[in-house]
Amino acid sequence: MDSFWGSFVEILSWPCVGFLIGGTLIGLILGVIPGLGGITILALLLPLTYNIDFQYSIVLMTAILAVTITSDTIPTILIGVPPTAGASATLLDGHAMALNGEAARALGASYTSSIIGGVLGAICLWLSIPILRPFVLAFGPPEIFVVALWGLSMLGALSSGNMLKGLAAGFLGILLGTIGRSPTSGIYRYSFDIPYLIDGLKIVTVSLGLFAIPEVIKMVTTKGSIPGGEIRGNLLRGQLQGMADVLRHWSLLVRSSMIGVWIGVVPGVGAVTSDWFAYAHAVQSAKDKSRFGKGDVRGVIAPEASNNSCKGGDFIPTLAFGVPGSASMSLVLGAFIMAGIQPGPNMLTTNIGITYKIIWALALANIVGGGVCLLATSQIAKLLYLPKHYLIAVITTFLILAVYIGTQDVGDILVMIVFGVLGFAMKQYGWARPPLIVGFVLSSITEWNFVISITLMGISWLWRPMVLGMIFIFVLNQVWTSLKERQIAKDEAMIRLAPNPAEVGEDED
Amino acid sequence: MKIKRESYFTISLIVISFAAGTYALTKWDFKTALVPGLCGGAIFILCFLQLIKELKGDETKSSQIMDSGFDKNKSTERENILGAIKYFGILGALYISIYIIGLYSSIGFFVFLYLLASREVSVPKCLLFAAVIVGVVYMIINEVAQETLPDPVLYNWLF
Repeated sequence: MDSFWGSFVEILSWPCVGFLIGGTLIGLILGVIPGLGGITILALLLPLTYNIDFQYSIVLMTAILAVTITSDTIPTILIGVPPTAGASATLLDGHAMALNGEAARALGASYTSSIIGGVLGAICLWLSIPILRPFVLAFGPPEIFVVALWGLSMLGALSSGNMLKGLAAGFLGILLGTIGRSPTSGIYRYSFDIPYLIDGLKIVTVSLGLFAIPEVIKMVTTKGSIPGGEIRGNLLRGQLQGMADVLRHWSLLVRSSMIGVWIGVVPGVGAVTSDWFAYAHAVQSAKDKSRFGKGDVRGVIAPEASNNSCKGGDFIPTLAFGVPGSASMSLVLGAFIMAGIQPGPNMLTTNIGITYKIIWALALANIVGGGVCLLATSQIAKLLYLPKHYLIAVITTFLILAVYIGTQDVGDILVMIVFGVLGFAMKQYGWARPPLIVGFVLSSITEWNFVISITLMGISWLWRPMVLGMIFIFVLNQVWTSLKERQIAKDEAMIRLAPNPAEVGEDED
Repeated sequence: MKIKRESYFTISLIVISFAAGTYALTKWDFKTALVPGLCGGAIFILCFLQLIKELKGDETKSSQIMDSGFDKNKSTERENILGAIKYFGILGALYISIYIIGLYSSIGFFVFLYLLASREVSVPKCLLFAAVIVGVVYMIINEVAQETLPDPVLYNWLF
């Protein structure tokens, strides 16, 4: 415990605190720029860490990673363009809230959820390293396959309103995810000898096309200024309302944060999936689902809490076993190796100080980052007052930049346009787009882990204790959800029969 | 039974899924074709059921849950489609332009011409704004991301 508080004092002393604040500000600024996710920034900064004491460079890297996912909600909510694929779940309700004149409330809720989610993620990291060790070491392809199946089972929740369309969109996402090299045979599927398609489609290109382009078209077609873009009422009041919303839906916040940590722990699943898992969970567990996608604050709280807490989960396998849970963690692992430190059991003994520093950096960067965003919102929200034609020109430039900067392949722009057409058609004709992106994200994870499980173990993997346990929880969750939905339907029928429906109180999540 | 405009989207998905599923099952071995074949089949069946629903007139716009959709009070369906064609035209032109003359000049031309076409911004302001945007893009690519862009086709033709 002395070491724990000692690390806290160290991180708040100069120059460590400078690296913490510097990393937080770098992460916040670069998080807003399209195409520059945390991984790009880390890759750029990795060579710099050679010349800095590892104690400081790990604080810098952790702070950057912790907050890029906090500031990426600013363009997502205000102008409907997610800079990274990880923010696309927030777009649905966050941008809809901005269009309803509740931008300040959406941003307030987003920052508060990010702060609390990030801190909860850090606490889970602190508590779980010794506990989760045997559990994560037992995690193999069959267990990851079951987690992916759990995600796919949420397609139903994401398509509420029209199950046929939602499931078809989900399967279309899985089908699109199969483009490229087959994990079973190495055959290139649907690539038609086009070099671009050999590596498959990229999540950033697909999600920007599906979600951002239809929003720009909405701006183009709507007469006057940005569609509904003016912020009505007092900014501070709006933000405070958003913060109060988070506290009111505290149970959803905690559940979404736990989903984020859980997804972060599972290697190779990633933050994009955690956002959609949390969003789907928010929809699935809500009594009143009618406002989702049209500006429900719960649709902002769940993904934001989840993607910030996911970073805490991400660190667990990286620190405890030297197994990076995601691409950005592989860079963190690279920094460890460059410094001559081998992550593993020694992170709980000889190098416990570094582990505690990471935990504190994660928690403090989230608090500082969220606080800076809250204070700067009044200035940032002025974006909405920009004339429409300026905004369309800037957004289009950033869209092109976001897909082009990583690969410098014009094919990415073409694919984004194709998915823009698909996204527009889906939006125009009432097809839900979230199931498509969830199917796409989980496609390769599901197929790859299923094939490995069958190849290595036949069907005996089904009897592995962890698989059985997870299937039990998964079935229990499905049964509980369907029972709850039946109960809600019964309640709604009662409300309809009641003489004065106006007296019925507001639904809790 | 009258085919509505939205049904054409469902029909196109039926055709695509049928083609994708058939291609998978006829071209590849069972293991490779399993997931694409299953997905193609599932989309085909689901979209077929959806089409029947649409043709029977059961479909209602209340299914727009999970998506804000387009605001009918602010733009009609025809305006949305025309706006989409216009915007996709711009993106298509930008794509071809980036391929031929490169990113920076294409972005500069696009911003300048788009602002000019809006007829709400003066020519010097259009020029200044386009220059600022190109400058920001240059900074992001060269200073922040430290990437080197490939030479455009025109450059390769000329030199």
